[in-house]
Amino acid sequence: MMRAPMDRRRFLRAAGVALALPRLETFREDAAPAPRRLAVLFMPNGVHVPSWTPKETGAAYRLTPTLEPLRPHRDRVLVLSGLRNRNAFEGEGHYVKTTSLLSGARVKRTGGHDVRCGTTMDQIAAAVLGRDTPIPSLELGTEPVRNVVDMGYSTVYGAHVSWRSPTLPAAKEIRPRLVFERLVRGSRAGARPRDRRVVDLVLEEARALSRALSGRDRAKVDEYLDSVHALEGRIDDFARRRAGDEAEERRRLGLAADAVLPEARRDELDARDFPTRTRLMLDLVVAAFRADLTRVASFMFGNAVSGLNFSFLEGVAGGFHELSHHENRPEKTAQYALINRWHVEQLARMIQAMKEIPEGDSTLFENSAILFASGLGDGNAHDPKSLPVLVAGGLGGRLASGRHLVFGRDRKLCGLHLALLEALGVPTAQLGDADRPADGILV
Amino acid sequence: MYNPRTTLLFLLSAALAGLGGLAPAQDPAAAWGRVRPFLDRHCADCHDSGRRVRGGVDFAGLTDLEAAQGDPELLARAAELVGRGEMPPASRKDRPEAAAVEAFVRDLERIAAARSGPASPGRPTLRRLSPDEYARTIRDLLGVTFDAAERFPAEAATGGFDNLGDTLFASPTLVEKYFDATVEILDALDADEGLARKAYLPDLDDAAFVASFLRRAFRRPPTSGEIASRVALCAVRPEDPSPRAGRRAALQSALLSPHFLYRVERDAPAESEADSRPLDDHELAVRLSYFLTSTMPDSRLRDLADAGRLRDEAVLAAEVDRLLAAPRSRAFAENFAGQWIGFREIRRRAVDFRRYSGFDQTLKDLLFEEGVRFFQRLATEDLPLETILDADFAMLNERLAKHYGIAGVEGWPLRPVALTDRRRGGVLGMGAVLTLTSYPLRTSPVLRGRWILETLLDAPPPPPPPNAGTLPEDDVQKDGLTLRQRLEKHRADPACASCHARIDPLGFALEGFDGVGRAREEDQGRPVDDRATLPDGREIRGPAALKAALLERAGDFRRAAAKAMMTYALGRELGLADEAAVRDVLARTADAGGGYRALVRAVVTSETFRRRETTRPRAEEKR
Repeated sequence: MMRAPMDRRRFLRAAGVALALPRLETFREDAAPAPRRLAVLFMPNGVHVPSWTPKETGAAYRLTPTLEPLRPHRDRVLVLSGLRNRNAFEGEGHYVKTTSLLSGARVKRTGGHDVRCGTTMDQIAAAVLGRDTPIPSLELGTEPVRNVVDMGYSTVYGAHVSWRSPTLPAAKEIRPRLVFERLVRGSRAGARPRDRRVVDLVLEEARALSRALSGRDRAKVDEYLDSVHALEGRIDDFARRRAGDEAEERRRLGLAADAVLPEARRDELDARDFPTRTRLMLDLVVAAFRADLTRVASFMFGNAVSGLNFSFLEGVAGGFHELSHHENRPEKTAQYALINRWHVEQLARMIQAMKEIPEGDSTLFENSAILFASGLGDGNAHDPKSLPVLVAGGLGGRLASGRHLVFGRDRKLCGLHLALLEALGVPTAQLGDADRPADGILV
Repeated sequence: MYNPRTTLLFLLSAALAGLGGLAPAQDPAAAWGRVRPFLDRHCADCHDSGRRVRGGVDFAGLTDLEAAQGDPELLARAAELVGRGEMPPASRKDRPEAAAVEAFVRDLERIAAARSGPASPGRPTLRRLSPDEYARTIRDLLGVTFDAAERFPAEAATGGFDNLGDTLFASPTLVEKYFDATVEILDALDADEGLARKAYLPDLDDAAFVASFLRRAFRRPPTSGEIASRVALCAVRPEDPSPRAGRRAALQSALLSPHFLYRVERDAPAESEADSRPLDDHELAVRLSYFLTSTMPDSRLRDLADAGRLRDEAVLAAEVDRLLAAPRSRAFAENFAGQWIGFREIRRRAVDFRRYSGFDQTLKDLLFEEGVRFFQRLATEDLPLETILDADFAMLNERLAKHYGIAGVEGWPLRPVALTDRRRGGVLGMGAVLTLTSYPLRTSPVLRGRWILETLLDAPPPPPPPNAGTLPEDDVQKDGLTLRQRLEKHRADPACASCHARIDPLGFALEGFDGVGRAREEDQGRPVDDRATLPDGREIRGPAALKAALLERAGDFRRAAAKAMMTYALGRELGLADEAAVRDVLARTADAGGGYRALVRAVVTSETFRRRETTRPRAEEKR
């Protein structure tokens, strides 16, 4: 039987939500160029600046102790110095600088009533790139939202680096098992014949309730209403999937599960220790990218002000935030730098995994960008003026990697975001304080 | 953009009088006599329509006390911006001293609290059931145990509590999980014939079955439309002819409906002129039930609501007593006190296992249990509120007693143990509190001091200036200063001193407890120094003296307790407009003996709890 080359997107849509297919070679890569992906890795509490910032600029830059783990990938990394997020200068030391990192928006000072920041660049990307994937984006982390108001700000701010809208932070998942299940199984919505009617009834009731309420109450119901709409979409996908060949489906589903995470690692999914969970989360991001289940992900190593205990590292005894206030005492700066370096190691590991996944003549890594950043420079001073930022990857040859770029006069972090969005195929006119892409990021 | 309900935090952050500090008169007229000159001197140049009006803020209309009380939002805004140090602007030469700012904000508070006439009951934002509430409600509704904490994303918390509508967001991920949860719950139901019969009510016709379930699931009588649409779902369909499939779909649609997932309080009809309305009986039953049991109203509350009797104050007060006496009021201790005092967090807390060997999950669970049982006892025995600060008993078993170094307690069950040593007793002696206010490897007098100010005195210190965190350069030395000595040096900087002089001493007095709450004599080889100098110059030493000093500010403490409880009960943050209601609740608590249960009763029978604002808040319309 002759089989026509199949458009990958159409296939995925037809195949439905839970099919975590690796990018099989049955798809003609010339039919549709490999998709571009964006991962954002957020590190709380800033860096020990002397150990992070390379002395040399341009292509001849040398890796610093903190960046040393990136040695195998040096040529595919763009280290950026001098960038700043002007709207996050004031407020307080951490929460503001975390939550507006990806939007450059001003943060409304509130203990929780009416939180407000800005739609973040990853969500702007997801709104477009997510149309072609079962899951628009992943928001992952390791720490729950703590329940305090700190410095007059709700900790909601410090626990979210992604915002779906200026008033709606994107809820993040902190348990690898639930992420895995979401990727492999998808939702159960649509499995039963009456599911569609059930959801329709719920939609109808939510609409009626929205009309009956006003103000913030209505906004809350509308949040719910929008989300039920999304569920409706997944039910339709499920229905299409059922129309397919069930045996074939099972075979693919088995394959998909392996693509997301090898069998051997699945018993780790409930691991409680922080390093294992971190590695799993990053593996799940890579797997989701590989199977094209989503093209956008954000991951928070920790929440703002994370006091996570890093005593599991040789040479470190204490919590991240505590050590970030190092007071320039050498025994503390050394530990602070080691913690930073551990984060960079996780990045290096992720890059390696992505490099090993071929996509046509290229690799997953070359089609992606990983933005690694903290909201602070020196944690001791809560310094917002020069942020530690780097971008790894290729974005299909668009990223001008392999250099250390130092920004002088025009140093808007949001300019970087606009450049990345452009290369992702989501050109955006304005974000935060920037109205054009920063120079030097793209080729 | 301004919102009166968020202001109190800021307001109080600036309004702190140190321990044993100011004790000014409560007279609002005298307060106004100080406020107006402050406005004239510091604000009128830019905010008086006689001259110019910047930022839409105009104080010209505040001609006398009555006028001031007539515009609480303007007062709240002044309190917020001045208290936060944003006004008067830094460019002005003649800026008020910190003490003057504090006095100004306190005065505004007094003026607002003394406002006559009915206070607005406010308007909590529509609340979704928190994961814990969801699980308990499902259990009561269907008999199925569902682990919501494992299945749903962790909820954000506001004002210290996870049940405030403002930060309970919905997302596609969450709704997907709600859907999957209903599948899992209904599968569990179908697998248990006993439960299934109770839920599917096979002896009733579809309409009666639906009506019966919705009445409980929606926590009110259902409308005919809500019933009819589900009766239609029940009809046997050729594509899924199994007898229960239809009713299962009806149950599922109810569990996914916003009327189940959200605690809906309807708006008054548009033509209504009144600013607020009393909650109807069913809305009141829901507020009461979720407040004290974190779940749906039980059958008695439902019957009382159906009969229209719950609005009767005596009936309502009796229901408070009944619910607090029942075992499921444990939810109140877990969720209210657990979040206010913070001990609910201890089970998730990681401490350094090498430094504190033996601090295992069992001990964490016990520290949590200690808090729960302590607050349950406060409620059932109606013990004085001050017991929270200082108690002559602790809820212990052998393991906890050993952790605390208390002899003579044997066996596993927790029980009230009379204390001879006044260092323990009350929340400041609880291992959960002492651990949660420490770093993984050491104690933190700053965290402990700040916790006391915030939680027990409702007087959070203002945020540090932008460059705080960098200790002065000359502090960087290798001479082995203790933590305490370094903090003392830090305080020598006047920019830091004004706040740390209030924060640190409270924590110093607790230095006799290590990072997991054990008593200690030494800290890294040096004798523990738990002496402290309070802002008024008094020297105290150790936790007993600290508690005595805190008891001198029992009024502030009671106010903090009332505000925390009202925040939790109402599901919204309190603002300047609520000052009068707080005062009223405190007065009625005192009249009823000043006990913990008396406070609960006063909160439930308050106008604020029993009514709802109907008009849109002005701030919202401005936006």
